[in-house]
Amino acid sequence: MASAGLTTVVVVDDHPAIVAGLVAWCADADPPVRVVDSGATPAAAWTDPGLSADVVVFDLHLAGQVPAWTDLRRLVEAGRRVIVYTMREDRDTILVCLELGAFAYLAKTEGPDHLVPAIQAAGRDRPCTPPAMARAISTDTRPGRPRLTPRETDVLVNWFACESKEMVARKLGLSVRTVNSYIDRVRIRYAEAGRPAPTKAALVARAIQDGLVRLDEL
Amino acid sequence: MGEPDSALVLDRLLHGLRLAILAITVTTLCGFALPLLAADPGFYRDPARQVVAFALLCAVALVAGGQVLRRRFAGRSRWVLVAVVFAASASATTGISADRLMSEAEWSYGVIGWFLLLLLVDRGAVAPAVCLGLHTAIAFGQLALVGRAHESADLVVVTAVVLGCELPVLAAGVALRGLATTSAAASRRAERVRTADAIAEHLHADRQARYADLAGTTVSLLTDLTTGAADLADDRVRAAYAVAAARHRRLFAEHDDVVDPLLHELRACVDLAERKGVAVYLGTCGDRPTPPPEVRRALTEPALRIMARAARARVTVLGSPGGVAVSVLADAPAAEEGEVTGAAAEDRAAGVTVTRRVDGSDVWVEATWRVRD
Repeated sequence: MASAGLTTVVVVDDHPAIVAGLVAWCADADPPVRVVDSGATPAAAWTDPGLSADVVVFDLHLAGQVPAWTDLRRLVEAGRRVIVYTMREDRDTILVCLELGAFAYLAKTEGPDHLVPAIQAAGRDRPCTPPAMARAISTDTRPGRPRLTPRETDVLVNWFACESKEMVARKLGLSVRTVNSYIDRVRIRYAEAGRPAPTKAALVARAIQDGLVRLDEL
Repeated sequence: MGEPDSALVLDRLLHGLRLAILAITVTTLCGFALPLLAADPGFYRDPARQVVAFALLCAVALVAGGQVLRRRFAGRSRWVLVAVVFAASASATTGISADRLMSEAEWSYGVIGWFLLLLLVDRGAVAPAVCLGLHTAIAFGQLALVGRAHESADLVVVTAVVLGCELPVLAAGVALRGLATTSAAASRRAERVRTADAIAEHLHADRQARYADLAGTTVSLLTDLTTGAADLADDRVRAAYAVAAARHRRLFAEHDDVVDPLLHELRACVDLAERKGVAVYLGTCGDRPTPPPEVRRALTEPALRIMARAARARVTVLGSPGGVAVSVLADAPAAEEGEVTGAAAEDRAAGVTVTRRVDGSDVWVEATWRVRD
């Protein structure tokens, strides 16, 4: 858990420029975020000082062509809050990451606007649904998926289109708070579905504490 | 397509020929064989066999005649009828004493061939020719077997007369078959030419209409450029050129044969904006129907206009079973003249609704098209 409002991050990415960019974004963050370590392999997250970092920012496409599903699963099973930050933004990759227990999924095109807020949210066990993730959820057709109401789908699709909750709220005649709660409740339902993971449990527990969902709704 | 065409033509031509053969067969049977048979039944060694043979041939004539009149072609059942015809022939030729085999009273020899033609003429040349040959060979064999080989010369004459009537009919069938094939091929060629003509004409008219659309705007822009009347330092003037260029790119993209024309045409617009240095994100969400060309143009138009003046743009194609929307979020400056400034406007011709929202320096424009039920 983040102490004194500071969130610590370890970055697993094989491109130095990505790490440098993330360090620069974090320097201006408020509440503060600090990158404690980085590396081109998941080892950075398993050894100090990365081992004690609150959040792992993880590139799914390290060196090899095959997505690093196993590394992601191991980190999640160890109770790490993992934010997948990678090139691909196709629906199936995103849904598999959520299924495995990733905290959030960001396409690299979304980094400047959404990565730091996602890290801050993860540090506090609060849900965060960046636009690409909203799109993947709104177009999910798998048989066992959590069912969305038409209104929830509407909110997610418009959030993907304009990246501004204020504009979504104005378009749909809702308050920003309601738009947020629609998005977050969907995210919590996805956390509840599928394989259990410590991070998912923390996300759901926090949502219940915050009054975002009630126990009998799940 | 070739096979059914040619079959259809052949079917029409053969029908006439089969009707003619049916008429000849029935006439021969009733007008030639029946009087001979009825004239003196006592002349035959076994009149019952003659009656059976005649009855069998009558039955075959009825069945085959029915098929001809109903324009049906027999399948394998024809071979049963052929066998019946040969059985009738055997019955008739064995029911008469050997010394009378070459007399006029042996009525069956001139009739059997017509039956074989009636049953087999639609099969091509080989089957009827083989059956006629077989019948002739059996006749000669039978004559030899009963010890009347010295009468072979008579049989040769009779055979020449009979086959002389039958073979031309068979030749006509073969000729008709050839005719059907060539006529079907010719009509296919003519059809192809007509289709190609129609497509070319349609494409030409389509292109002319589209170029006419562009000529009004593009020609005046180019004229201004050549006379130096265009003030290229003015952002709005440059944007007007960017819009015209993007419309041309979209026009070229409209001619491409692609799976997702809307996205393809949108990419053409985005490509040009990116060359100008606009940072564009292009994403799609959900499955969508493919709108007709004029709708696609109305859907891409707002995106095209905004990107001409923006520094960055987020273009998304949002699909649902009931329609499709093209959404553009951009940091565009104040609305240009002639652009939608209210909350919503509608391109009535295409049925596309355009909404526009401004939030600080950002503008969010959505063009939505709903599938009409």
